[in-house]
Amino acid sequence: MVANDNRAPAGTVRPGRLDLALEARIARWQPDLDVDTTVTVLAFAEAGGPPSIPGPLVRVRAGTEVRIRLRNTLTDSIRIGPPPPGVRRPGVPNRQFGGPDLVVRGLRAGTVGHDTIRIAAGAEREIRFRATKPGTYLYWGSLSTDTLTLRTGRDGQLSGAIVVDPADGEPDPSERIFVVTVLDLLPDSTGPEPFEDIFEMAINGRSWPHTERFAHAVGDTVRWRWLNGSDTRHPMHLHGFHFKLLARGQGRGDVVLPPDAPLGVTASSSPAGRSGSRGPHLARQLADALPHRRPHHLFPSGRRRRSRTTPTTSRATCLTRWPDWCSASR
Amino acid sequence: MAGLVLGIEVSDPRGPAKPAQPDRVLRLVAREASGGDGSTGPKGFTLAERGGRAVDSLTVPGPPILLSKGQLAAITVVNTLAEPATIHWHGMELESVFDGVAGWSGIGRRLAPLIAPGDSFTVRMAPPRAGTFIYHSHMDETDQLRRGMYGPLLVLEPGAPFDPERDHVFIAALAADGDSVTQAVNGQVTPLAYPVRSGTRHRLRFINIDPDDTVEISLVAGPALLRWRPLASDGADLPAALAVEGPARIRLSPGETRDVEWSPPDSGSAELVFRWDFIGLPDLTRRVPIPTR
Repeated sequence: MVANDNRAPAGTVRPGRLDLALEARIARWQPDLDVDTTVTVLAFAEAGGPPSIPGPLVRVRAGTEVRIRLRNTLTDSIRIGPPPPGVRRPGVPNRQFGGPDLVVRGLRAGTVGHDTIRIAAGAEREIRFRATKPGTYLYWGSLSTDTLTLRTGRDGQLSGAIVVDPADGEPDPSERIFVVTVLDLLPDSTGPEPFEDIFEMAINGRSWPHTERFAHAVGDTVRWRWLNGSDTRHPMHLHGFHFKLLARGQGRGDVVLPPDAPLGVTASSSPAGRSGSRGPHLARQLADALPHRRPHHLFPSGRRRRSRTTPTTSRATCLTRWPDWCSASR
Repeated sequence: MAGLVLGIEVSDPRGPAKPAQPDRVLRLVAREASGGDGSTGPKGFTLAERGGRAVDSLTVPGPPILLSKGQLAAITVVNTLAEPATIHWHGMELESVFDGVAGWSGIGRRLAPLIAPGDSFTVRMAPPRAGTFIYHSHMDETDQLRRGMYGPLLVLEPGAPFDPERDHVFIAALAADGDSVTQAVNGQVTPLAYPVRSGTRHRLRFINIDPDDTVEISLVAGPALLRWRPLASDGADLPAALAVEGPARIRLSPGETRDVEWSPPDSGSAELVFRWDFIGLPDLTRRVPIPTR
């Protein structure tokens, strides 16, 4: 498993065309590097390469024909929950197991209305489309037909970015792309073991203090794209800086904000649960900023923060009850 | 800090700024009140100008800190709590070491400190823009925020007076409710009436410092949604094209501020409605009666 910093686009580019082979795989994720949790999740991978969180970056110019072959490597249902009754909020289904079918949304970069494809266990599908709308798009997978707001289990890392650049001009080489993901495994005291309780939030596959560090100079302009692949809103706040919001992703394309739109201190991301992109583009003129280190953080919203706790189930118990699953698990 | 945080280091070839004499010297004291029955009470602040006396009792929210754009202020944060404290000046463009993220903000070995019990730390800032900002605890926020360690930081245009008759702050925040937590407006779970004068324009400044939840704020008269004019967002004035009258309803995410302008009618009463909609749970509403006088 690798943390994807979204700097290298995936696939093979030839004039006017991108070919990409994607797979959804079981993988072991260490959001805090090797100091804490290792958890088994589902992740996207480019065929022949390691799985990554977030999934491989798809980046093309408008007008490019995109061909994506997507394979579901699962062969059986897996435990992706559990959200236990009584602990989970009312109205949220008890989703302990998911798959083996894979549901992927948003892969066609806003070019179709209901962008959902379903891939059976072990099967492969190819989609073709012409990227026509410059913008920022989220693609995401799930082992159920739930909305994004309910996808907090082991399939919660199946998110990736698609960027369609304008046909003309060169993209800003310093631009950065960030995808927010969440993993929320609540203890299910009413069900069988394992009683796991893991809560991780990550930016490009890493959780603070293991997220990427940035160095800029006074006067730099920094352009960021943010995509929310989690289950809830994440207002973003820059300590000590104001920023300029350039556009908001709407799934079917970006809404570009007027040049005189006000500066922001906190940007509210689009609510999770709507398919498609939710990527405000951010640029920050640092000309009048003072030097020094500043944190930039996003508030988790719509839930109470919970501390991460360690799993309480022994590996022996897990292996006894779910030998196939636990052989690939922690 | 945990989870969704990135670190940014900004270098300045010009080197550190030269120290200057502050125009204002303030003393912000972090205090804890007794719960009266031996239980823990609210935490908060008292504020004093140089040469002045701080009032003895703390308020929730903390007292408004009024600064002028471009004016250099030195604010000494005194921690009389039995625990460490640090204050973040939310939305303010200031030198990083003063920004309140202990052990991280700053440069080199000059990092923002955790202010120990009985200790103090002096923060310097010269706000580059007028607007509505926030000061709040950046230490053990789960406890300190819900117990009241936050307040408005208002920056005025140079020479502009602050008129409390026409300038009003409403802060949505968490509040302790026994052993539980609930939502409050200006520290009140059951907000008191907030009379305003008719026949004049009022500036309403809204702040959401609830660390988790977005709040919808509406101004209504009975079933009717009133109208107001947006003025500013996150401490930045809106361009003229956006500062136009419209329905009196906004959504504020954690950490956001909005300023609006409203002219109440000559008679009658309005109501500010703060509504939190939690997924799968009933809405929670706090209503602030706004009678006109």
